[in-house]
Amino acid sequence: MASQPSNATVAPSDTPLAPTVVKIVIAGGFAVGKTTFIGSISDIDPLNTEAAMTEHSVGVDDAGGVTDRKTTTTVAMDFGRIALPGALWLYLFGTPGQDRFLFMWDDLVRGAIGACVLVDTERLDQCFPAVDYFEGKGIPFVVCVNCFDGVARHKLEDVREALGVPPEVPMMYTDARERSATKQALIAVVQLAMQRLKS
Amino acid sequence: MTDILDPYKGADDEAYTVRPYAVTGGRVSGASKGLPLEALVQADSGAQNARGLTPEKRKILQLAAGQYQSVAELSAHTRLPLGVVRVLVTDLAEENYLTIHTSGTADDEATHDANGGLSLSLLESVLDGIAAL
Repeated sequence: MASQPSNATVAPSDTPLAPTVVKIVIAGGFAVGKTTFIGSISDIDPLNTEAAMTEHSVGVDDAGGVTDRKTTTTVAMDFGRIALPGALWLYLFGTPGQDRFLFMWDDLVRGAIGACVLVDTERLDQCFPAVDYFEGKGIPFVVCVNCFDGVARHKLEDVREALGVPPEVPMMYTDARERSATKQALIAVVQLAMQRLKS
Repeated sequence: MTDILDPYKGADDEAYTVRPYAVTGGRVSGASKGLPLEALVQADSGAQNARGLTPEKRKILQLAAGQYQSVAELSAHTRLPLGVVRVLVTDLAEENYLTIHTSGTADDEATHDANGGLSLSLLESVLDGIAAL
């Protein structure tokens, strides 16, 4: 894994044109499907990185499924990468699962196109911190209700009301396992960012 | 078994036991603090063979030899915390071992306005790119 030279990354060392990098943040509660979402569309298997070290996370950290490390004094987050035409690389960064790591989010969202908040309607409250954060920072975000079994259990308008998000925030159903669905979610984020810019 | 030249060898599933401040020579952030997670790093092939490099720096140069790797990817592959990788990458760039590319990130004035918003033309390219996936 450490020395995987994927085709997209190989470039002669004197190439003047490095890819332009952009990112979209994937947020949501613990185990809502962020890593699955990223993995469904990423060119690389989702990677896992440590963003900070804090004693507070010992034993309870959401390592996003990668928990082989013995030192648990870390905050882990998953990310993926998609190569787009025109030497454009899109990174997808999953937020650390729990809201007590909100302090790290400033770093994650700096320069981001926008965010996608994944919602599990069975545990709606878990996405409140993400919604609050993006609203507070004025970061364009769309709300994606994840349908784990392909069945929408709640109407989008009911979810909107429960979350208290304004009508201008796009809401949609998604399936984190389906590339076509995650693609639509990413498109919605970019379109919203463009809309914001034009208005 | 420990290979003193490559402490990562065979240690894939073991915890990294050196304190982060030891790896960075005691420094915490400074100039490296603002380095975006998605900034790309590229080293010349062979840069990792230079003398006097710490194993961590050598590993970074190895991973970025002749190819682009983001700061986040380097952190994932080296299993070093992001903050540590930022310091080491900034050091290595100052020592001319590697190049940092920030095109498209918040540090790039050509693609971001003063408020940190992305340019419309870049967003259009991203949209077209995703739609074509």
